[in-house]
Amino acid sequence: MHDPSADTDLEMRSALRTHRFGWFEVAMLVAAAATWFGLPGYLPLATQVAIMIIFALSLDLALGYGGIETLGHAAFFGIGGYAAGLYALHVSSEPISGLFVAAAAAGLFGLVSGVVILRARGLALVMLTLAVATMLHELANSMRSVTGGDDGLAGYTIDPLLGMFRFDMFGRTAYLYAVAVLVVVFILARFVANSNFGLTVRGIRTNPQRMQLLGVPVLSRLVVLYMISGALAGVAGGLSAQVTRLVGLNSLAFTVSGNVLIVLILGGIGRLHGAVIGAIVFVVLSDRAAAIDPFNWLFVLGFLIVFTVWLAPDGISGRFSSWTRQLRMRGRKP
Amino acid sequence: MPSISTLLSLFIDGASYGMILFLIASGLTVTLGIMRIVNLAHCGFAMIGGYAALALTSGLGLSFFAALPLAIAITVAIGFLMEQTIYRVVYRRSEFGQILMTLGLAYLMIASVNVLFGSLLQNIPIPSALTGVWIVGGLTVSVYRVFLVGVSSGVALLMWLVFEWTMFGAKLRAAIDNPRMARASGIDVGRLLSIAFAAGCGLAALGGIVGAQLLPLEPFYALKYLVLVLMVVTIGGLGSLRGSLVAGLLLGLIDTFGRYFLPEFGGFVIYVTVLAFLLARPGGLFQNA
Amino acid sequence: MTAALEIRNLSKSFGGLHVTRDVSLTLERGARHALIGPNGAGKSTLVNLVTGVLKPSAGRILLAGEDITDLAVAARVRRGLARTFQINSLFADMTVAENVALAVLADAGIDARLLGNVSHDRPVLARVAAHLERLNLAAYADRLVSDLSYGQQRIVEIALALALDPSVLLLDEPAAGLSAQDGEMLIGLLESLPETVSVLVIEHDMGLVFRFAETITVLVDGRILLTGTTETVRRDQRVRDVYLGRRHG
Repeated sequence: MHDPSADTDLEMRSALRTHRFGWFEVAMLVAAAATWFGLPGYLPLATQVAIMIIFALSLDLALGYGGIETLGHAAFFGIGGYAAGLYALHVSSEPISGLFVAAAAAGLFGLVSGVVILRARGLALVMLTLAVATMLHELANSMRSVTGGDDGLAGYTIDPLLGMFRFDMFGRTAYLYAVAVLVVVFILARFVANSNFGLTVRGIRTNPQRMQLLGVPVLSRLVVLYMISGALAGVAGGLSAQVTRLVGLNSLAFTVSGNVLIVLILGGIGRLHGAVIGAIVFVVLSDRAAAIDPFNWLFVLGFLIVFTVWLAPDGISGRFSSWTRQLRMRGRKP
Repeated sequence: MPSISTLLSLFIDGASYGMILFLIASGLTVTLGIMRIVNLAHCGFAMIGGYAALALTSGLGLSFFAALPLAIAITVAIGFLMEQTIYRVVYRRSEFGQILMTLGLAYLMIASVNVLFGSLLQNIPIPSALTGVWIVGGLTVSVYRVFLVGVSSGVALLMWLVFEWTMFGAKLRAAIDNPRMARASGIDVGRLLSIAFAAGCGLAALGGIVGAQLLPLEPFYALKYLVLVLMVVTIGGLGSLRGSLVAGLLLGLIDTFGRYFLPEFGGFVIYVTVLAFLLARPGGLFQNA
Repeated sequence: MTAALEIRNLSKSFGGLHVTRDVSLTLERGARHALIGPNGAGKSTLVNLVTGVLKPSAGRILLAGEDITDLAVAARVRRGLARTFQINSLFADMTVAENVALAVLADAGIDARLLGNVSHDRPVLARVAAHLERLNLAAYADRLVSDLSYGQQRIVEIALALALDPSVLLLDEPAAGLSAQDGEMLIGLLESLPETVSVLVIEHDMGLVFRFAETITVLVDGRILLTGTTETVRRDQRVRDVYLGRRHG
């Protein structure tokens, strides 16, 4: 028996444009597996890609979904890194708990700084994020006894994963670890994006005044989002610290904030997939370019930003989805 | 308690540092004030000016005082060209898009400078007339620092005269106050912006050249001091030259004194101060429009 | 019976400019109340004061007897106040369904829920569908609001307010820019509102005002000229003078 309410449900469902698992996710898993089996020499690079994807996903939640414009996301990456490193150095070398510590530390910072700065919007907010991140960089530089200053934190060991898998020098365990964390983070990000909260923050991004007039406490929602985003960025930083066994001032540098922004511009903001595409393109390109000439990489970066913002403001995934949308529109009944 | 001589030195150091920040920031505050154009590549022009002066002195053997106006002119020309071409695209973007695009331009500037001049820190050789110290009644002051304060003050005075007393300045003030009204009353805001932009590049170049002793030249110059300059602009209030002057001086003094009295915390002091200020008064020292 | 909305001696000045002068107005429960007046009289300012976007220089605002003068905008809305804008303030690059869903989630108090998928929430979907049905927008559920016609966008503007199930509805020139047909639909919509919703409409369209309103308040130069039934206001000479420009109150 045909159930008409099921039809309406289906229409409504697609009208709410939530993220659905599809061929893209399958392709991601296939690519991850293919790298493991087919490119064993590239596992360290692939691990860097995974870390960058996690970092970019965290920024996408804040920027793409919530409209929080930030030039200081490195703050969370660095806090996560230092937290994981200090944890391994002084408390326990167990990696998974270290990631939780990294997430908690970064998330807490997101809460505190969010409450303070998220009242601002636009250029003022960008300035504040920049100021906060730069301040943290200076602070880490000053607290040499804790952070190791210019030299950074090193010499901490990371225990075998789950007590069994030692971090080998070919980066095999590191890769599996990073991919596993990425899967968890992706699912979490997707959870947030698809939830009521996700729709609400998208509304806040689009028209914050109207959201207030719908009775939504905008600042509170943004702070929670910033906290979640910060925590996930902290996971990326912590993962990096554990996998490379080194964390330094460069994890708090402006270039880190700039790079993750570029990743999102390249890949596309606000659609989660963009983080994946952008990260892959960026990390692979930078690796190739760095091999050739590290400073000329900045030329490539510069051109990439300028041309992407100019010609493809929605990034690669945006171009792709606007093509598919046009195709769908053509196939639609008038 | 440090001696009077030390305090005076610190004061002059802080003031000269602040004045350099002001010179560089002045162009940015005007363009931001008129059109809300966010130009993260602005410090790049200070850098270009510095490197141009370097090339003219070290490379071509010109004297410092001959290279100075020439390097400024070169930077103004480059800035004007960029404004007429690339920045046309930037203007049409959203605020965040402008931030990103000009960031990209800054990256390009850094890369270009690195290709041409290498990545090591460089100094512009200063004439012997400006080196050394003066001893005034038992107090020692650096000649160059005094020169800095002198030149910056002179330029600031000139700027003030133009701003308050000329037709051009009046139109500029109108455009900053209310660009739409200004356009409606027949002021060619676009042309005004182009001139202000070019002038801003020149001022930044001046700051970069004379300030090279304090802010040494390196490819990352364009981004390294960006945060500081942005802070001067924000605290001083968008579009307020007076605000930038005061903010620059304050930041310069706070930084210098901060580093002296709290050496372990060095640069941290200034950022905490700035943050506290920005949170208390997001509109800046001198609210303008 | 407590009034749905009570404005007591509300004043607002911007420096030397007095935009609202000692305005007192009572919106009874179930009221169909119109606020009219020449341009610049301060009608929109009054709405902004009531919703909390502007802070008054003096006076109090009571919603169902509760003093809301010091409450933030979002808090007032949660207590049952809703408004529409004269110039649409929608979620332009989101679909019609998403627009209404935002209001439905906020009204149900579940807008911050992190668990569960919003597009699998059957009660929410049902409510969104019901609202869209009532407004003849069901066919446009998955269209971006920016792709709709102006008239349809105006309807979505009203949908956002209605989906909040408000007790007090403030409509700022809802008929502005609507075709005759859409205007008719609007009046039908307003007339079908239940007794539990008290409506204050700002309008220039006198046709709509005289058909819909039971009480009319005339605002001139930030001050109330008079409040009365539709008949009383229609006949009042002062009102005619104001509209014909002969004299200001």
